[in-house]
Amino acid sequence: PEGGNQQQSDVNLIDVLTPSEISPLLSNPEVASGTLFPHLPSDINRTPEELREVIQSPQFAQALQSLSIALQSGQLGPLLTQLGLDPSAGSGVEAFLRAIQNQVSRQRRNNPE
Amino acid sequence: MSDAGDWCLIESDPGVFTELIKKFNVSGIQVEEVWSLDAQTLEELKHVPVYGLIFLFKWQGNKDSSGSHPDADLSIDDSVYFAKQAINNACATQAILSILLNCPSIDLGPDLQQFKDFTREFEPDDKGLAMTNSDLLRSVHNSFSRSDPFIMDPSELSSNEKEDIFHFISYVPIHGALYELDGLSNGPVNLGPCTEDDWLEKVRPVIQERMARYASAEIRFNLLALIKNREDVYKKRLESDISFEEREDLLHKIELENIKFKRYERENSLRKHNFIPFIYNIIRILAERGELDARIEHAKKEMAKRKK
Repeated sequence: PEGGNQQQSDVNLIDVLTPSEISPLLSNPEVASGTLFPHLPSDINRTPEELREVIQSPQFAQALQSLSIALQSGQLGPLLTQLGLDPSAGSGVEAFLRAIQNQVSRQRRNNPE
Repeated sequence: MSDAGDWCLIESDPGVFTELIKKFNVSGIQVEEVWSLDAQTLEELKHVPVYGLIFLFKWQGNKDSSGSHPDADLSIDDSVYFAKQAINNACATQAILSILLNCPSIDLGPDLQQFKDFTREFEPDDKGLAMTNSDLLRSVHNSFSRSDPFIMDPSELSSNEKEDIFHFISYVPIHGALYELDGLSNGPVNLGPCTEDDWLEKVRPVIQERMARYASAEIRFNLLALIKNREDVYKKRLESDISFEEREDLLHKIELENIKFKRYERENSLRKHNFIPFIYNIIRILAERGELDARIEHAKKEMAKRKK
Protein backbone atom coordinates (compact mmCIF):
# COMPACT_ATOMS: atom_id res chain seq x y z
CA PRO A 1 0.00 0.00 0.00
CA GLU A 2 1.04 3.59 -0.50
CA GLY A 3 1.60 6.08 2.31
CA GLY A 4 5.10 7.31 2.99
CA ASN A 5 5.23 6.10 6.58
CA GLN A 6 5.72 2.42 5.79
CA GLN A 7 9.17 1.87 7.22
CA GLN A 8 10.18 -1.57 6.10
CA SER A 9 12.53 -1.90 9.05
CA ASP A 10 9.81 -1.48 11.64
CA VAL A 11 9.65 -3.78 14.66
CA ASN A 12 7.04 -6.30 15.73
CA LEU A 13 5.56 -6.17 19.24
CA ILE A 14 5.98 -9.93 19.44
CA ASP A 15 9.75 -9.38 19.59
CA VAL A 16 9.45 -6.56 22.11
CA LEU A 17 7.19 -8.32 24.58
CA THR A 18 8.52 -11.87 24.57
CA PRO A 19 7.22 -14.03 27.44
CA SER A 20 10.76 -14.76 28.67
CA GLU A 21 11.56 -11.06 28.96
CA ILE A 22 8.35 -9.81 30.46
CA SER A 23 7.51 -12.60 32.87
CA PRO A 24 10.12 -11.46 35.45
CA LEU A 25 8.29 -8.10 35.59
CA LEU A 26 5.09 -9.89 36.41
CA SER A 27 6.46 -11.51 39.55
CA ASN A 28 6.47 -8.09 41.10
CA PRO A 29 3.14 -8.15 42.96
CA GLU A 30 2.72 -4.41 42.76
CA VAL A 31 3.06 -4.40 39.00
CA ALA A 32 0.83 -7.42 38.58
CA SER A 33 -2.07 -6.50 40.81
CA GLY A 34 -1.95 -2.73 40.44
CA THR A 35 -1.32 -2.30 36.76
CA LEU A 36 -2.12 -5.46 34.87
CA PHE A 37 -4.88 -7.38 36.66
CA PRO A 38 -7.51 -4.76 35.84
CA HIS A 39 -6.89 -5.35 32.13
CA LEU A 40 -7.38 -9.11 32.08
CA PRO A 41 -10.63 -10.68 30.86
CA SER A 42 -13.11 -10.77 33.71
CA ASP A 43 -13.26 -14.57 33.92
CA ILE A 44 -9.50 -15.01 34.35
CA ASN A 45 -8.25 -15.47 37.91
CA ARG A 46 -6.15 -12.64 39.25
CA THR A 47 -3.01 -14.58 40.10
CA PRO A 48 0.60 -14.25 38.90
CA GLU A 49 0.43 -17.81 37.50
CA GLU A 50 -2.58 -16.96 35.37
CA LEU A 51 -0.91 -13.78 34.23
CA ARG A 52 2.08 -15.79 33.09
CA GLU A 53 -0.16 -18.19 31.20
CA VAL A 54 -1.94 -15.34 29.49
CA ILE A 55 1.27 -13.84 28.12
CA GLN A 56 2.30 -17.26 26.85
CA SER A 57 -1.01 -17.91 25.15
CA PRO A 58 -1.37 -17.93 21.36
CA GLN A 59 -4.26 -15.49 21.77
CA PHE A 60 -1.97 -12.89 23.36
CA ALA A 61 0.58 -13.41 20.57
CA GLN A 62 -2.24 -12.92 18.08
CA ALA A 63 -3.20 -9.65 19.77
CA LEU A 64 0.41 -8.41 19.59
CA GLN A 65 0.59 -9.38 15.95
CA SER A 66 -2.60 -7.63 14.94
CA LEU A 67 -1.78 -4.50 16.92
CA SER A 68 1.59 -4.39 15.14
CA ILE A 69 -0.10 -4.66 11.76
CA ALA A 70 -2.62 -1.98 12.70
CA LEU A 71 0.13 0.37 13.88
CA GLN A 72 2.03 -0.12 10.64
CA SER A 73 -1.08 0.70 8.66
CA GLY A 74 -1.23 4.04 10.47
CA GLN A 75 -4.96 4.03 11.11
CA LEU A 76 -5.07 4.12 14.88
CA GLY A 77 -5.48 7.87 15.39
CA PRO A 78 -8.50 7.78 17.75
CA LEU A 79 -7.00 5.04 19.90
CA LEU A 80 -3.72 6.93 20.32
CA THR A 81 -5.54 10.06 21.38
CA GLN A 82 -7.42 7.94 23.91
CA LEU A 83 -4.12 6.75 25.36
CA GLY A 84 -2.93 10.35 25.54
CA LEU A 85 -0.34 9.84 22.82
CA ASP A 86 0.51 12.11 19.95
CA PRO A 87 -1.22 10.97 16.72
CA SER A 88 2.20 10.71 15.07
CA ALA A 89 2.72 7.66 17.29
CA GLY A 90 0.55 5.80 14.82
CA SER A 91 3.12 5.77 12.05
CA GLY A 92 4.64 2.46 13.05
CA VAL A 93 5.41 0.17 15.96
CA GLU A 94 8.67 1.87 16.89
CA ALA A 95 7.03 5.31 16.78
CA PHE A 96 4.32 3.98 19.08
CA LEU A 97 6.87 2.61 21.58
CA ARG A 98 8.92 5.84 21.51
CA ALA A 99 5.78 7.88 22.11
CA ILE A 100 4.97 5.83 25.21
CA GLN A 101 8.57 6.29 26.42
CA ASN A 102 8.24 10.06 25.95
CA GLN A 103 4.89 10.07 27.70
CA VAL A 104 6.35 8.26 30.72
CA SER A 105 9.40 10.57 30.87
CA ARG A 106 7.24 13.66 30.59
CA GLN A 107 4.91 12.47 33.34
CA ARG A 108 7.94 11.80 35.54
CA ARG A 109 9.24 15.32 35.01
CA ASN A 110 5.86 16.76 35.87
CA ASN A 111 5.39 14.60 38.97
CA PRO A 112 8.80 14.03 40.52
CA GLU A 113 8.57 11.57 43.39
CA MET B 1 -17.25 -13.68 -4.63
CA SER B 2 -18.49 -10.56 -2.94
CA ASP B 3 -16.42 -8.65 -0.40
CA ALA B 4 -16.12 -9.58 3.26
CA GLY B 5 -19.33 -7.75 4.15
CA ASP B 6 -19.38 -7.38 7.86
CA TRP B 7 -18.32 -10.92 8.68
CA CYS B 8 -15.22 -11.10 10.79
CA LEU B 9 -12.49 -13.61 10.19
CA ILE B 10 -12.52 -16.40 12.77
CA GLU B 11 -10.08 -19.13 13.58
CA SER B 12 -10.73 -22.68 12.48
CA ASP B 13 -10.27 -24.02 15.96
CA PRO B 14 -12.24 -26.82 17.66
CA GLY B 15 -13.06 -24.65 20.68
CA VAL B 16 -14.36 -21.83 18.48
CA PHE B 17 -16.44 -24.17 16.32
CA THR B 18 -17.87 -25.95 19.35
CA GLU B 19 -19.05 -22.69 20.92
CA LEU B 20 -20.33 -21.44 17.58
CA ILE B 21 -22.60 -24.49 17.23
CA LYS B 22 -23.83 -24.13 20.79
CA LYS B 23 -24.71 -20.51 20.16
CA PHE B 24 -26.74 -21.54 17.11
CA ASN B 25 -28.85 -23.28 19.79
CA VAL B 26 -27.85 -26.73 18.57
CA SER B 27 -27.11 -28.93 21.55
CA GLY B 28 -25.18 -32.16 21.98
CA ILE B 29 -22.47 -31.49 19.38
CA GLN B 30 -18.78 -30.83 19.72
CA VAL B 31 -15.92 -30.32 17.29
CA GLU B 32 -12.54 -31.95 17.50
CA GLU B 33 -9.37 -31.70 15.54
CA VAL B 34 -8.42 -34.94 13.79
CA TRP B 35 -4.67 -35.30 13.47
CA SER B 36 -4.50 -38.52 11.57
CA LEU B 37 -6.78 -40.96 9.85
CA ASP B 38 -4.99 -44.13 10.89
CA ALA B 39 -6.93 -47.24 11.81
CA GLN B 40 -6.73 -46.56 15.54
CA THR B 41 -8.12 -43.01 15.25
CA LEU B 42 -10.96 -44.19 13.03
CA GLU B 43 -11.81 -47.01 15.41
CA GLU B 44 -11.98 -44.57 18.33
CA LEU B 45 -14.08 -42.08 16.38
CA LYS B 46 -16.56 -44.76 15.40
CA HIS B 47 -17.59 -45.21 19.03
CA VAL B 48 -18.63 -41.57 19.20
CA PRO B 49 -20.82 -40.91 16.22
CA VAL B 50 -19.11 -38.57 13.75
CA TYR B 51 -21.62 -36.50 11.80
CA GLY B 52 -19.20 -35.08 9.30
CA LEU B 53 -15.65 -33.95 8.63
CA ILE B 54 -14.46 -30.51 7.61
CA PHE B 55 -11.26 -30.14 5.66
CA LEU B 56 -10.20 -26.52 5.96
CA PHE B 57 -7.30 -24.84 4.29
CA LYS B 58 -5.84 -21.51 3.36
CA TRP B 59 -3.96 -20.73 0.24
CA GLN B 60 -2.65 -17.71 -1.55
CA GLY B 61 -3.66 -16.82 -5.05
CA ASN B 62 -6.43 -18.25 -7.10
CA LYS B 63 -5.46 -21.81 -7.76
CA ASP B 64 -8.24 -24.11 -8.72
CA SER B 65 -9.13 -26.67 -6.11
CA SER B 66 -11.60 -28.68 -8.08
CA GLY B 67 -10.88 -31.10 -10.86
CA SER B 68 -9.98 -33.94 -8.56
CA HIS B 69 -13.15 -35.82 -9.41
CA PRO B 70 -13.45 -35.71 -13.21
CA ASP B 71 -15.99 -38.51 -13.31
CA ALA B 72 -17.99 -37.33 -10.32
CA ASP B 73 -21.73 -37.25 -10.41
CA LEU B 74 -22.64 -33.57 -10.08
CA SER B 75 -26.34 -33.93 -10.75
CA ILE B 76 -28.28 -32.07 -8.10
CA ASP B 77 -29.73 -34.40 -5.55
CA ASP B 78 -32.74 -32.93 -3.79
CA SER B 79 -31.96 -34.76 -0.58
CA VAL B 80 -28.67 -32.89 -0.18
CA TYR B 81 -28.62 -29.38 1.28
CA PHE B 82 -25.94 -27.60 -0.71
CA ALA B 83 -24.97 -23.92 -0.44
CA LYS B 84 -22.38 -22.03 -2.44
CA GLN B 85 -19.81 -20.11 -0.45
CA ALA B 86 -20.79 -16.46 -0.81
CA ILE B 87 -18.32 -14.69 1.48
CA ASN B 88 -14.85 -15.88 2.37
CA ASN B 89 -14.96 -14.86 6.00
CA ALA B 90 -18.22 -16.71 6.53
CA CYS B 91 -16.73 -20.02 5.50
CA ALA B 92 -16.35 -21.41 9.01
CA THR B 93 -20.04 -21.00 9.63
CA GLN B 94 -20.92 -22.34 6.20
CA ALA B 95 -18.74 -25.40 6.72
CA ILE B 96 -20.51 -26.19 9.95
CA LEU B 97 -23.96 -25.61 8.50
CA SER B 98 -23.36 -27.85 5.54
CA ILE B 99 -22.93 -30.72 7.99
CA LEU B 100 -25.62 -29.76 10.50
CA LEU B 101 -28.27 -29.20 7.84
CA ASN B 102 -27.59 -32.59 6.27
CA CYS B 103 -27.85 -34.72 9.41
CA PRO B 104 -31.44 -35.61 10.24
CA SER B 105 -30.36 -37.16 13.55
CA ILE B 106 -29.13 -33.78 14.87
CA ASP B 107 -31.66 -31.69 16.73
CA LEU B 108 -31.17 -28.34 15.00
CA GLY B 109 -33.02 -26.27 17.57
CA PRO B 110 -35.64 -23.69 16.59
CA ASP B 111 -33.41 -21.19 14.76
CA LEU B 112 -31.56 -23.46 12.38
CA GLN B 113 -34.64 -25.59 11.76
CA GLN B 114 -36.50 -22.49 10.70
CA PHE B 115 -33.60 -21.42 8.51
CA LYS B 116 -33.48 -24.83 6.86
CA ASP B 117 -37.22 -24.91 6.21
CA PHE B 118 -37.17 -21.40 4.82
CA THR B 119 -34.26 -21.97 2.40
CA ARG B 120 -34.89 -25.61 1.46
CA GLU B 121 -36.06 -24.85 -2.08
CA PHE B 122 -33.47 -22.16 -2.79
CA GLU B 123 -30.78 -22.57 -5.46
CA PRO B 124 -27.23 -23.20 -4.07
CA ASP B 125 -26.24 -19.57 -4.76
CA ASP B 126 -29.25 -18.25 -2.89
CA LYS B 127 -28.72 -20.63 0.00
CA GLY B 128 -25.21 -19.22 0.38
CA LEU B 129 -26.54 -15.68 0.23
CA ALA B 130 -29.27 -16.49 2.74
CA MET B 131 -26.61 -17.75 5.15
CA THR B 132 -24.53 -14.63 4.83
CA ASN B 133 -27.60 -12.42 5.14
CA SER B 134 -28.92 -14.12 8.26
CA ASP B 135 -28.72 -11.81 11.27
CA LEU B 136 -28.58 -14.72 13.69
CA LEU B 137 -25.75 -16.51 11.90
CA ARG B 138 -23.78 -13.33 11.42
CA SER B 139 -24.15 -12.10 14.98
CA VAL B 140 -23.11 -15.45 16.46
CA HIS B 141 -20.19 -15.69 14.05
CA ASN B 142 -19.12 -12.12 14.78
CA SER B 143 -19.24 -12.66 18.53
CA PHE B 144 -15.81 -14.19 17.94
CA SER B 145 -14.32 -11.01 16.58
CA ARG B 146 -11.75 -9.60 18.92
CA SER B 147 -12.96 -6.50 20.67
CA ASP B 148 -10.01 -4.36 19.64
CA PRO B 149 -11.20 -0.83 19.09
CA PHE B 150 -10.02 -0.85 15.52
CA ILE B 151 -11.36 -2.62 12.51
CA MET B 152 -8.96 -3.54 9.81
CA ASP B 153 -10.18 -2.33 6.48
CA PRO B 154 -9.37 -5.17 4.09
CA SER B 155 -8.15 -2.63 1.51
CA GLU B 156 -5.41 -1.62 3.94
CA LEU B 157 -3.96 -5.09 4.10
CA SER B 158 -0.97 -5.90 1.97
CA SER B 159 -1.79 -7.61 -1.28
CA ASN B 160 -0.41 -10.83 0.11
CA GLU B 161 -2.89 -10.95 2.91
CA LYS B 162 -5.74 -9.89 0.72
CA GLU B 163 -5.29 -12.88 -1.54
CA ASP B 164 -5.49 -15.41 1.23
CA ILE B 165 -8.45 -17.59 0.52
CA PHE B 166 -10.02 -19.68 3.20
CA HIS B 167 -11.69 -22.69 1.86
CA PHE B 168 -13.60 -25.57 3.33
CA ILE B 169 -14.76 -28.90 2.11
CA SER B 170 -17.22 -30.92 4.16
CA TYR B 171 -17.66 -34.67 3.99
CA VAL B 172 -20.98 -36.08 5.11
CA PRO B 173 -22.83 -39.36 4.72
CA ILE B 174 -26.30 -38.52 3.40
CA HIS B 175 -28.98 -41.11 2.64
CA GLY B 176 -26.56 -43.95 2.02
CA ALA B 177 -23.98 -42.05 0.00
CA LEU B 178 -20.79 -40.23 0.87
CA TYR B 179 -20.85 -36.61 -0.25
CA GLU B 180 -18.17 -34.01 -0.71
CA LEU B 181 -19.65 -30.53 -0.20
CA ASP B 182 -17.35 -27.84 -1.51
CA GLY B 183 -18.77 -24.32 -1.32
CA LEU B 184 -16.68 -23.23 -4.30
CA SER B 185 -17.73 -26.02 -6.63
CA ASN B 186 -20.96 -26.22 -8.57
CA GLY B 187 -22.73 -28.90 -6.61
CA PRO B 188 -22.41 -31.77 -4.17
CA VAL B 189 -20.11 -34.56 -5.29
CA ASN B 190 -21.37 -38.09 -4.74
CA LEU B 191 -18.36 -40.23 -3.88
CA GLY B 192 -20.27 -43.50 -3.84
CA PRO B 193 -22.43 -45.56 -1.53
CA CYS B 194 -21.64 -45.86 2.17
CA THR B 195 -23.29 -46.75 5.45
CA GLU B 196 -23.20 -44.96 8.80
CA ASP B 197 -20.68 -47.60 9.86
CA ASP B 198 -18.23 -47.57 6.98
CA TRP B 199 -18.29 -43.97 5.76
CA LEU B 200 -15.15 -42.99 7.65
CA GLU B 201 -13.22 -45.77 5.94
CA LYS B 202 -14.59 -44.66 2.58
CA VAL B 203 -13.62 -41.03 3.15
CA ARG B 204 -10.14 -41.86 4.38
CA PRO B 205 -8.37 -42.23 0.99
CA VAL B 206 -10.11 -39.11 -0.36
CA ILE B 207 -8.86 -36.95 2.53
CA GLN B 208 -5.46 -38.58 2.68
CA GLU B 209 -4.96 -37.76 -0.98
CA ARG B 210 -5.79 -34.09 -0.26
CA MET B 211 -3.54 -34.00 2.80
CA ALA B 212 -0.60 -35.33 0.78
CA ARG B 213 -1.25 -32.88 -2.04
CA TYR B 214 -1.51 -29.81 0.22
CA ALA B 215 1.35 -30.82 2.46
CA SER B 216 3.64 -31.03 -0.56
CA ALA B 217 2.44 -27.60 -1.74
CA GLU B 218 2.98 -26.18 1.77
CA ILE B 219 -0.64 -25.20 2.11
CA ARG B 220 -1.83 -24.99 5.70
CA PHE B 221 -4.81 -27.18 6.43
CA ASN B 222 -6.66 -28.79 9.27
CA LEU B 223 -9.23 -31.49 9.62
CA LEU B 224 -12.09 -31.10 12.06
CA ALA B 225 -14.77 -33.59 13.02
CA LEU B 226 -18.29 -32.74 14.11
CA ILE B 227 -19.12 -35.39 16.67
CA LYS B 228 -21.71 -36.16 19.28
CA ASN B 229 -20.95 -34.53 22.63
CA ARG B 230 -18.59 -36.99 24.32
CA GLU B 231 -19.82 -36.37 27.83
CA ASP B 232 -23.36 -37.25 26.73
CA VAL B 233 -22.09 -40.43 25.09
CA TYR B 234 -20.09 -41.46 28.18
CA LYS B 235 -22.92 -40.69 30.58
CA LYS B 236 -25.30 -42.76 28.51
CA ARG B 237 -22.88 -45.68 28.65
CA LEU B 238 -22.58 -45.31 32.42
CA GLU B 239 -26.27 -46.13 32.67
CA SER B 240 -25.76 -49.53 31.10
CA ASP B 241 -24.48 -52.67 32.77
CA ILE B 242 -20.70 -52.28 32.65
CA SER B 243 -17.66 -53.50 34.54
CA PHE B 244 -16.03 -51.58 37.34
CA GLU B 245 -12.99 -50.89 35.15
CA GLU B 246 -15.08 -49.53 32.35
CA ARG B 247 -16.98 -47.33 34.76
CA GLU B 248 -13.72 -45.89 36.13
CA ASP B 249 -12.49 -45.35 32.61
CA LEU B 250 -15.66 -43.49 31.63
CA LEU B 251 -15.55 -41.29 34.73
CA HIS B 252 -11.96 -40.43 33.91
CA LYS B 253 -12.90 -39.56 30.33
CA ILE B 254 -15.73 -37.32 31.54
CA GLU B 255 -13.28 -35.53 33.80
CA LEU B 256 -10.96 -34.96 30.82
CA GLU B 257 -13.86 -33.58 28.80
CA ASN B 258 -14.65 -31.12 31.58
CA ILE B 259 -11.06 -29.94 31.64
CA LYS B 260 -11.08 -29.55 27.88
CA PHE B 261 -14.27 -27.51 27.88
CA LYS B 262 -12.89 -25.24 30.60
CA ARG B 263 -9.84 -24.70 28.42
CA TYR B 264 -12.03 -23.91 25.39
CA GLU B 265 -13.93 -21.38 27.45
CA ARG B 266 -10.74 -19.73 28.61
CA GLU B 267 -9.22 -19.61 25.14
CA ASN B 268 -12.40 -18.16 23.69
CA SER B 269 -12.49 -15.48 26.34
CA LEU B 270 -8.86 -14.55 25.58
CA ARG B 271 -9.66 -14.58 21.89
CA LYS B 272 -12.44 -12.03 22.33
CA HIS B 273 -10.52 -9.86 24.77
CA ASN B 274 -9.30 -6.39 23.88
CA PHE B 275 -5.64 -6.62 24.88
CA ILE B 276 -4.63 -3.08 23.96
CA PRO B 277 -4.86 -1.55 27.47
CA PHE B 278 -2.95 -4.56 28.82
CA ILE B 279 -0.22 -4.27 26.19
CA TYR B 280 0.00 -0.51 26.67
CA ASN B 281 0.54 -0.95 30.39
CA ILE B 282 3.27 -3.54 29.96
CA ILE B 283 5.07 -1.18 27.60
CA ARG B 284 4.72 1.60 30.16
CA ILE B 285 6.27 -0.62 32.82
CA LEU B 286 9.22 -1.32 30.53
CA ALA B 287 9.55 2.41 29.86
CA GLU B 288 9.46 3.25 33.57
CA ARG B 289 12.17 0.72 34.26
CA GLY B 290 14.32 2.11 31.46
CA GLU B 291 14.26 -1.22 29.61
CA LEU B 292 12.24 -0.23 26.59
CA ASP B 293 15.13 0.99 24.42
CA ALA B 294 16.93 -2.30 24.79
CA ARG B 295 13.77 -4.19 23.85
CA ILE B 296 13.34 -2.09 20.71
CA GLU B 297 16.92 -2.77 19.67
CA HIS B 298 16.39 -6.47 20.30
CA ALA B 299 13.22 -6.47 18.19
CA LYS B 300 15.03 -4.71 15.34
CA LYS B 301 17.67 -7.40 15.31
CA GLU B 302 15.01 -10.11 15.25
CA MET B 303 13.34 -8.40 12.32
CA ALA B 304 16.62 -8.14 10.45
CA LYS B 305 17.31 -11.84 11.07
CA ARG B 306 13.94 -12.75 9.61
CA LYS B 307 14.59 -10.72 6.47
CA LYS B 308 17.73 -12.69 5.69
